[in-house]
Amino acid sequence: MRLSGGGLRFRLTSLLVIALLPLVVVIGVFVSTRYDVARREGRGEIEKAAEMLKARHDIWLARTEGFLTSLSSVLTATTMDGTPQCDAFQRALATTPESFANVVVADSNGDIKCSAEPIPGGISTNVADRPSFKAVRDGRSFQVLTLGEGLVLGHQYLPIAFPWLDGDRFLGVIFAPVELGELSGIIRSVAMPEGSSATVYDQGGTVAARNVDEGPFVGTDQSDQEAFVAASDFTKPSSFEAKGLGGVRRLYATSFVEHVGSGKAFIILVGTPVSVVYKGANQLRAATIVGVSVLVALVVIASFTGAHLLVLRPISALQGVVRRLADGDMSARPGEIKGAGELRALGVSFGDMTEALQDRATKLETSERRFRTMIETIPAATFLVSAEGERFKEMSIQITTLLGIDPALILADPQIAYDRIGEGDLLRWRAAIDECLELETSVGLDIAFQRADETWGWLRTHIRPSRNADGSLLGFQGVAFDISDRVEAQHELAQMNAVLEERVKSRTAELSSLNLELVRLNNGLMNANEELEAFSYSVSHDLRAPLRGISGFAQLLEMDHAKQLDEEGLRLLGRVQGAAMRMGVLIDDLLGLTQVGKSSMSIEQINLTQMAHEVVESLAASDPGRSVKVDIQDGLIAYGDHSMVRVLLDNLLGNAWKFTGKKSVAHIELGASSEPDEPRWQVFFLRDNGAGFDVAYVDKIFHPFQRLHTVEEFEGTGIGLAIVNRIIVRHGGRVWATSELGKGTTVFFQMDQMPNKIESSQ
Amino acid sequence: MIGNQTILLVEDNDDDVELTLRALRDGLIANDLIVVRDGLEALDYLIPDKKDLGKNEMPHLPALILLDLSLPKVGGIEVLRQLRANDRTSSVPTVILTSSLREDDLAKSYSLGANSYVRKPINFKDFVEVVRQLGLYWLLINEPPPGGGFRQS
Repeated sequence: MRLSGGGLRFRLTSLLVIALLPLVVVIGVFVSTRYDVARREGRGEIEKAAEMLKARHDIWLARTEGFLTSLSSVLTATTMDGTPQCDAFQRALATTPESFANVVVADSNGDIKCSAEPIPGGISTNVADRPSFKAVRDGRSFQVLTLGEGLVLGHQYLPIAFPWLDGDRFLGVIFAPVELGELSGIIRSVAMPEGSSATVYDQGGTVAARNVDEGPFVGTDQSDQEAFVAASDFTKPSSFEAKGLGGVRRLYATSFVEHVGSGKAFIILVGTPVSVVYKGANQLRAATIVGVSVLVALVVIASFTGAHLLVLRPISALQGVVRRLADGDMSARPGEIKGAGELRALGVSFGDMTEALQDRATKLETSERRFRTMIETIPAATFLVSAEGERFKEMSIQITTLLGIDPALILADPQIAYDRIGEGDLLRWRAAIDECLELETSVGLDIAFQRADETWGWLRTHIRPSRNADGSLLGFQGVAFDISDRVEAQHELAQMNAVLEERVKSRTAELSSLNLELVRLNNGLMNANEELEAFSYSVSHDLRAPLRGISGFAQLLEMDHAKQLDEEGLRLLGRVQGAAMRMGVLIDDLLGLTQVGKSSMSIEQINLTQMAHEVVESLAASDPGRSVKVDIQDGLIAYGDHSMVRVLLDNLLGNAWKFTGKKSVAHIELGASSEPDEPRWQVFFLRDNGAGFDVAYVDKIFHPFQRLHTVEEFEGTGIGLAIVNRIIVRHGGRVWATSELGKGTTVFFQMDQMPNKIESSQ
Repeated sequence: MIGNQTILLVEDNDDDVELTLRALRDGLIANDLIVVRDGLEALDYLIPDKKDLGKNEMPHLPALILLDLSLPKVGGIEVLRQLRANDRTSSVPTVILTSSLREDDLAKSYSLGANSYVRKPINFKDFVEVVRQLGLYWLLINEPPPGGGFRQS
């Protein structure tokens, strides 16, 4: 923007001119009063002249009327039989003033009877249809009529008519046309003010006389002339300004010559051209205008020059600096300002300001460079959407990486970008623009887009309204980054989850049906077990009582009555006792078997080596005659129920002890097999060199009451290995055996190596 | 003979009663033996209803009770429970003498305050030995609780 010197100058000058206005007004009022005075003076003179003219015409009219009255009397007196005596008439006319052009008498029929001058058409001319005749006959009064061309005279004159009466009887009309020169004489007899003119009009507006310049006007109809129209509206003498004869504007005074018969017989106008009236005032006004103009011109010139020197030149200097600053030249400085103190101070302040500006501009530039580097380095595209929400105004280079499209193309035509977005996302995008504008906040949106290579990806965008300093909307600042990897991973995860969920559902359904089946089976088993339990218990318990009786009473019989029995009787009694004893053992073993099924288990770590040694010691103590070589491996550890495992070892070692009874060199060995099939399940073995058995029966030995030897060979109930089997099974393991008749038997059993809880029900 | 305190045998089986008597005799335990045949009878004997008795008619308490578990009317476990719940009988040495070796019965008996739990052996010699040792221990070796009112001179 350039400083407008003209504007400042104009305002300064206007101020000065406005200051001059009161002076101009005072001068104007003074000039105006001069006009009033001139008008008053001019009016006074012409009014006086008009009054004078009216007086002269009144006198003239009275004299004319007097003459015609006496002429009428003469005619009446001399009339004979209704016919005027023209001789007497002629005589009476001897004293006729010269002002009349002729004098004519017409009778009541309008026939001319006498004429002072000869009439071209002859004496018998009838004038009954003449207006003047009709006016006098109807009015019976003196009439001054409008100018007209005389019937007899053949030129213009002022018609005057007078009734010829005999008492009240109408005898005829006396016509006395007046030459216009007569009227001019009257006007000239009155002195007019300098430059003024006087005009006499008849009642129809025709100029009857004029004191000057009469040639072009006298006899002409001027009824439509402004001055006459104005004057004929008045009823008494007045003055006014109007345009008059010759188109000249005049100050007029008017007066009327009135007569009973014809009203305004004459209208007199005395006028002075306004140029004459206001001559002095006009001269004064002209002088004043010149003076004021010169004064204003001087003031304007002075203010223009002063403004330029004192204000504009320093301001222009400052303006030049501002322009250079605006063009980016931060080194621009105003020099020292000469002149007024305020402007000098302004210059100094301005210099300080430019220093500060340059400093800030430098910082701003550094900051701007830093931010631009940052914007172009981050792995996201930034962009600015125009305020109407459609076009892109800015777009960073990263969009090339995201979309594979040159940002310049999108800036030129946003449709290139919109074509890459699905219709639904485009709607959401526009909704997001509306939303962020409404909420005045940042709004995020994920958009699927098609890259230049036709593959699809995902952008996460955030936009927020960006505003100018004045609060108007600049556009929408946005950022977009690629989240394709994340979205794809999420999709995959969701799919996998769905598949997994489906699998879990079907497995759960299978499991729950299986579980139901298991529960049902288990309930059945438990019932069966409970029944078996109750049965076993009551059998073994109830069987013991009578057995005790058999055994006890047999013994008492032997003790008390042995003398009464022979040898055979005592032998049979011994068999009874032996059978009872075996039955007792059988019942106890059965009870042991049911006990294994029933007891709850508490799992703990068991030192098998130590436990085996204890069992062997008790076996040796109960059978001191035997010599058995026992090898027990050190450090055998297993997890299980302590009392059950004790029963297990009692039975296994007891069996081995029993079945090696007939060997001269008995050998029993307990150990762990070096390579277990499953790391968790350690396989232990108990090997003896005892009687052994036929492997064909190997399946039988772990079932209750299955014996492979006679009681005579080896005592036993056939329940021991069944108990072993149940204990191992309850611990989750497996037991099996190999054997060879006469060579020995090896029993293998698996036991847990982990302290896990093993199922504790049956 | 070991003192003159009475032994109360609660046993429904005639055979067992006879064998027990014989075992006590063979074991040289000459104390008086009172035999009741079911749980109700045992309770009536040990905790009689006061209305049914005159003053000073309360019976002497036995020095030892041998209690079978499987009894008609009122079972041995219930008899033990009521004895231990009653102030007068709560301290009387009571030995469970039974055929049962059920863990349930063992656990319940001890938790209710049985002093011993002995299984009747089938072999009569063993049975005699068990009874003899019981008598020896509870009637001679063991000191009864104070103020029980059942030790009579």
